[in-house]
Amino acid sequence: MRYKYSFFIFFIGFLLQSTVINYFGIFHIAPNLVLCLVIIFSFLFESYHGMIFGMIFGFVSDVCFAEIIGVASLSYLIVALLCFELKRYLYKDSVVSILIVSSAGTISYALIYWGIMQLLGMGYEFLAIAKMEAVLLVYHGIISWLMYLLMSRRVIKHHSDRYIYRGSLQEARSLNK
Amino acid sequence: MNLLREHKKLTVMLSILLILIVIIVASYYNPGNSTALGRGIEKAVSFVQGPVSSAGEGIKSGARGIFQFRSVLKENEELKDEVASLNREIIKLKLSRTELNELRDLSNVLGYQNVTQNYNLVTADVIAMDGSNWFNFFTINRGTNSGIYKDAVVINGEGLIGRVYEVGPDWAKVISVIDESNSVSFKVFRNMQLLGILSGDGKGSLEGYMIDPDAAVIKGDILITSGMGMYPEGIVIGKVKKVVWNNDTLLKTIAIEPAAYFKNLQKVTVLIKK
Repeated sequence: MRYKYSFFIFFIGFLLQSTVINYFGIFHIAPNLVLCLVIIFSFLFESYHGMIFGMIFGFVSDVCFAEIIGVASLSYLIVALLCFELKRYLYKDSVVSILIVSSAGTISYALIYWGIMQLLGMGYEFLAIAKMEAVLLVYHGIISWLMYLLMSRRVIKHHSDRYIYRGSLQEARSLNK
Repeated sequence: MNLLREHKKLTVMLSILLILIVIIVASYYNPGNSTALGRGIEKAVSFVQGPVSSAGEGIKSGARGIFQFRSVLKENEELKDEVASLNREIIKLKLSRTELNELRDLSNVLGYQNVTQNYNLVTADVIAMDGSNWFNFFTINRGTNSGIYKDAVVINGEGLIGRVYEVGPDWAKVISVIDESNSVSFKVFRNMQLLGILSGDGKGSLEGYMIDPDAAVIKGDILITSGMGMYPEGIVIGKVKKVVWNNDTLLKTIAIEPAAYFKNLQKVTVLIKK
């Protein structure tokens, strides 16, 4: 995907997250769209767009809303690196993979953010965050799955390829007998 | 140097990590002091967020009207009743107004100063909230052009909201009272001699302690600002929901339910000193 398209998607995600999403949150908990984008972009695509734009919009988010600048940016960077690593162990063409990556990304983001804030003597109680994370896991799972459906076509051209038998023709015929 | 050249990606990654850590540490030691770049980013972002936020608000109220028609109708009936009772209240208040004016004249003669008369009120829309679900930071669409300054007190119809943390020409970043770093001195409305200090509890609510360990504060007591510190006297903060004696600190600690509902803030008022 081109840089300008990725930037546009992240920009829209950031705008929605800071404005509209808060009005439509269920149980007054709103999903983190930028985090979902970082997870999807880092897992699906080979480029570093997820990492770069995650850091940029994390930084913008910190400048606009946080006391300490750089925490969200650093957390997104680490989550992106984690998703890059998970790419080595999981298949991209399975929806289950995206749910695993989404859960891992959500939990690790919360832990990293909470950990840094605790180091700085700030932040919320772990239990309060844990309660919220349960809802966020479901949210992010659904959003990541929807994003996966939209974006996976660019990465996985032929979904049915994995069912094609790749052995020799004679062997295949012998299996039918 | 060869090692760095051979591992270019790793070098870049470590450099970025290092830069981010330096930024975090720098902003930790200089909280609320954005650079020109930060202010530029904030200005550009709030310029775009304003219309998007009002569009979202419009969509929300529109959708509510469609999907919750019955509840809106019921709410309308309730509001009509409320209007009738408020009208009755107005008549009563008109009668006491003359009395109040007389007392005000008397207070002027005696040289007392009225707190509310010392402030101008600026109403602002909340245009953006942090995506963290804690609602301890948000941006409003008024800034220095409307007379807002750093540490100006922010309230809404329900009670105390917080204070201005950072301000630009047409935007301001507000830190809410539920943030742990925000301490407020309060007194109990029932008995104004009972004083205490409260701050965020780290769970999206408030907690505090009474200065006098023997203070007879009870569940359900309304807390208001005491006037000590930056917050003017008499703003409702919240209601006491639990009183606990802490054996370690030998203080009476209280859990407080904030009067304002932070998760659905749309309009706020900023108090500007005259």
